[in-house]
Amino acid sequence: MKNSNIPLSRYEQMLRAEEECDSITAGRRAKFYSPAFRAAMEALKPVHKTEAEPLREPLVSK
Amino acid sequence: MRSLKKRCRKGRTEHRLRWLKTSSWVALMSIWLRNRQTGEQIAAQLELHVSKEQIAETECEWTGYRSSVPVETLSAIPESNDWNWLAKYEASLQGLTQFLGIRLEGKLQGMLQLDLVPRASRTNRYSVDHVLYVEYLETAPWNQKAYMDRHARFGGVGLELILGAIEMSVAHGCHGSLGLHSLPGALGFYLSLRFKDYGPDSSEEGLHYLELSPSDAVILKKESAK
Repeated sequence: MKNSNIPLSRYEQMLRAEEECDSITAGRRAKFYSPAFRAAMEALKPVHKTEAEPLREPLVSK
Repeated sequence: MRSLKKRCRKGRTEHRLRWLKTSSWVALMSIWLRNRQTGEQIAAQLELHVSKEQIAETECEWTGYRSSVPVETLSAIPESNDWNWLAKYEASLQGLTQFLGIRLEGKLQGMLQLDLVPRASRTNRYSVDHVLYVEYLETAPWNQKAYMDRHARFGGVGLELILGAIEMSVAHGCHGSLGLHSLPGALGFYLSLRFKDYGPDSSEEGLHYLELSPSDAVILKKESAK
């Protein structure tokens, strides 16, 4: 039977603290990216063209 | 890097480094997590370079898991519920940022984004002390009390991610010193790891800024030795 009077080791204390916290998180922007930031990110994404475009007008021999 | 390699060679547990054919290298370190249900220790791996593909895969897994938990069962919406790690990766400056992860059962159990550009320490403003800044840290939803209450799966994920960041801080000349902004639900955890609380930071949405000094990083590493 475990003796509850035995003090926890520091390692056990740290694990206990992690367990008792709602979530283990850290971050600068607390919740989520703002709509403006998301829009800016979308604008930065490269655009992939589905069809190859001719580099120049085809030469027409007269 | 020298210190990191030294720890990997001489560590108490089995550490190993693997170099890829490309010039970039991937470091894997053996660590231990705790099964919260059975209490047993389980071997896991700390990955010091998580790739974009791994982050994309993990984002799908974590988002799917979050959406599978009925909102009505949650006492509050978790603070990181809307985070998107792939967006964080795409917004990060390549080469100046590093993503760390802990892998167990084929899945990442937690991730940490580290800014590799040293910043001035707040512990001693008038010295040349620097810290590495933890941009983001999150454990997988199935390891969070917010989603799982008393049924969270693995413990020690946050601690091992911080220990990995300490190694990177040493490798980048910051002597193990770290800085971060804690979300409210995790403040007690960082304080238990000897981080010093500098209080709410008005420039960062009122989040508390915390720092781990080099001396406390050394103590933390010793205390976490099992």
